[in-house]
Amino acid sequence: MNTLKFGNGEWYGKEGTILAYNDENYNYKPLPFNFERDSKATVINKDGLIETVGSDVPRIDYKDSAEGALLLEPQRTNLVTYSEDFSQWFKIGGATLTSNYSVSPDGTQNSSRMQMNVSDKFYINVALNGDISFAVYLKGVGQIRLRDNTSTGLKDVTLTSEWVRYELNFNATISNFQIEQQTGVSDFEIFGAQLEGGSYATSYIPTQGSIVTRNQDVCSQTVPSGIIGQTEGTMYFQTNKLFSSGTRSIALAYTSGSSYYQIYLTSSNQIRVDVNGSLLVITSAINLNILNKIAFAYKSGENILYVNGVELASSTSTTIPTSLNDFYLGNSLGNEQSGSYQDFKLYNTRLSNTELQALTT
Amino acid sequence: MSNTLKFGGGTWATKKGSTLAYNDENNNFKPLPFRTTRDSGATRVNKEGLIEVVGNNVPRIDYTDSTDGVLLLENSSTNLVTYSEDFSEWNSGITYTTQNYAISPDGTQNASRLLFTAEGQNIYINTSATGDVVGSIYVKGTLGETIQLFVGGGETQFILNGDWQRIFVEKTSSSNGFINVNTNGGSTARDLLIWGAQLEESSYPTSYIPTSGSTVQRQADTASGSGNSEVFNSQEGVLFLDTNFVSNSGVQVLCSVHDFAANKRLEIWANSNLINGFIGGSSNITVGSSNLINGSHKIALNYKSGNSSFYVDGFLIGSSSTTFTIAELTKMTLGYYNTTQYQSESPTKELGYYDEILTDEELEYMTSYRSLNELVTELNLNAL
Repeated sequence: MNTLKFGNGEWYGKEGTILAYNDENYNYKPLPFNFERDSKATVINKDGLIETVGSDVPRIDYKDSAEGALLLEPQRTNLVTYSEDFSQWFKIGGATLTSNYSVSPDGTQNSSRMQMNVSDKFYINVALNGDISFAVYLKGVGQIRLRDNTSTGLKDVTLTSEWVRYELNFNATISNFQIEQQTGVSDFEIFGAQLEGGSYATSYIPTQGSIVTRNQDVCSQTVPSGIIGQTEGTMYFQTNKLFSSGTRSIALAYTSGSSYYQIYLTSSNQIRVDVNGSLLVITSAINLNILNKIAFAYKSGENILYVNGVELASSTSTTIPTSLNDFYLGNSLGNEQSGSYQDFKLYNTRLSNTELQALTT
Repeated sequence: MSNTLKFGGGTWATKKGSTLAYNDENNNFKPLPFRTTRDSGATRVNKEGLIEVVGNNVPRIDYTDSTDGVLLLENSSTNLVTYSEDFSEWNSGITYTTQNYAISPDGTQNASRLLFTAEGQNIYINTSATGDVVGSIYVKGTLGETIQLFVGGGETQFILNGDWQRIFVEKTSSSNGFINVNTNGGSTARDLLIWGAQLEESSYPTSYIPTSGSTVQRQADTASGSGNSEVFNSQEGVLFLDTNFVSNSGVQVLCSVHDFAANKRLEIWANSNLINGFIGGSSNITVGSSNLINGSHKIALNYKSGNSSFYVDGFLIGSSSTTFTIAELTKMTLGYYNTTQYQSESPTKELGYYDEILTDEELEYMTSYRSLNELVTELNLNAL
């Protein structure tokens, strides 16, 4: 029995909550997740524009899917103090900058135009070391170079007529970040520069003179009895974005103490399920850059994990957690969020292998 | 089964001191009115969406989040902001505000224009508030711009939605009594409308209390005395409640059927956010308990000696096979069962009483919704 439905194009919520539900026998029953984030944040809305939402407002991201996906991200800080006002960046050479030149990815007249000749450069001072991610929206003509002062992080970008968010991930100790005209000339628009500590770029964090921190998203609920199967069950996820960096929690079915199933992505891009803190099943590395359909089914001696229609791991363990009644998506047990969720379902039965194959295909 | 008492559900009839519940068995309509009291005036949002002042003892049907309306029951609260609409009395108010500039949420030309010119500007007023406080104000500005509200040491930046919106900040253990509207923290709004400031010693904002020169207290609402011994069956039945639950820090009796005694009562009550179905008779029985988040919930207490159950939002939360007897049940009351007030602060959308127990299928149906669309509408959710 499918006891909880969430997403799959049906996204409803408000500050502090996002709706999941049960519709057995055509009786619609709310199973809302509590949603917390102690800061505002941005998301790509249905119109494809960057939109800012307030604290505790869930974010449905339409960047990669017309159906939308719940975006769950860790805390990050944009260390670029002027992410949109490039007149505040240092300039070397004779480049021309025009502020508020045209419509940016947020839909307002606030993009900047840069016209650069060879050796021209804009840069901003940022002291940072470790994993670093730089991202910026660009469109125009020509080729430019994105790099840090040590050139450890370096990317040559050939511009196009459409806005694209270019991302550069590297590990270094840096003191500034640069947009450089290495050869030829270029004429382009720029918006939304972001430099953050981490191995991948997260959603855009606007700044206007100081660094800004977006806090982490937390999504959880205590469900009524019968929603999480206590002796058998199935959890299904569909995601088009899983972040590869350290250990990333996908979900946690939990009770007080140390009784739980935790599903997470390892630093080697494997899907792993722990039961009560011990390994239950683990897959080989999966491709994070595609749509992934993941189903974990559990029952004493019959635990199995399917990804995209294929059985990737199984276990005959007879260990079953007791009294599962809390459910977390993303952040849990000290592990950061894993990414975004297009669809999530709970069943209070262990689906058959044939059903699991069909569900994840 | 017989649905022997109906109340609300979009059907509201009120006058000073009374709001109608009724019995319509066999198409004979019989009045079972609640007696309503409140020793002060108060405000509500009327069907037109405007804030309206009503007099003492007038029940308030509020349409803030529902086209069907809810019976608004609130505890006593005081607006400690002495000038809730005249911002020229606030510090820097003369510099930055223009009085009576536009139509406010009460439908009259009394909203003020707040015109800042830069980041780091503010208007504020001091109050005597201490402890846990909540400050609120109605604002209207350009969609997507931001404004910051400071209350008692806490501060939040809000994104304006282009229409009137009530923003509020809660601060536990406040460090001062200030409420302050400002452009700190990179707030982008410079030209906006403001109206209806309120600062209460509370953990959540209650309905707007207008002030003009001194603090004003709104007294508590009561609703009691509906029904009689012919309506209620002391042997078995169902008490149904559809509520916009608001958790407070204490105990609230959302609904009770009783005969003014601890051993003659049925109750749906809450302690903080824990909702309980309770039978008080020859035995005291908590049939079920569940933690609720604030918002719309359908709740049913099904009672019969040895066969009781408690449903919330379509789910069976608890059941009891404990036997009991109740001598008599004569009244339905919101907020208490005898002389001790446990103020319900959760608006009531609908109440119902059945004088026979219902099946599990009927209870599941009664406390759930017929479609995803109805679920979304009743829970007042937005498409994301």
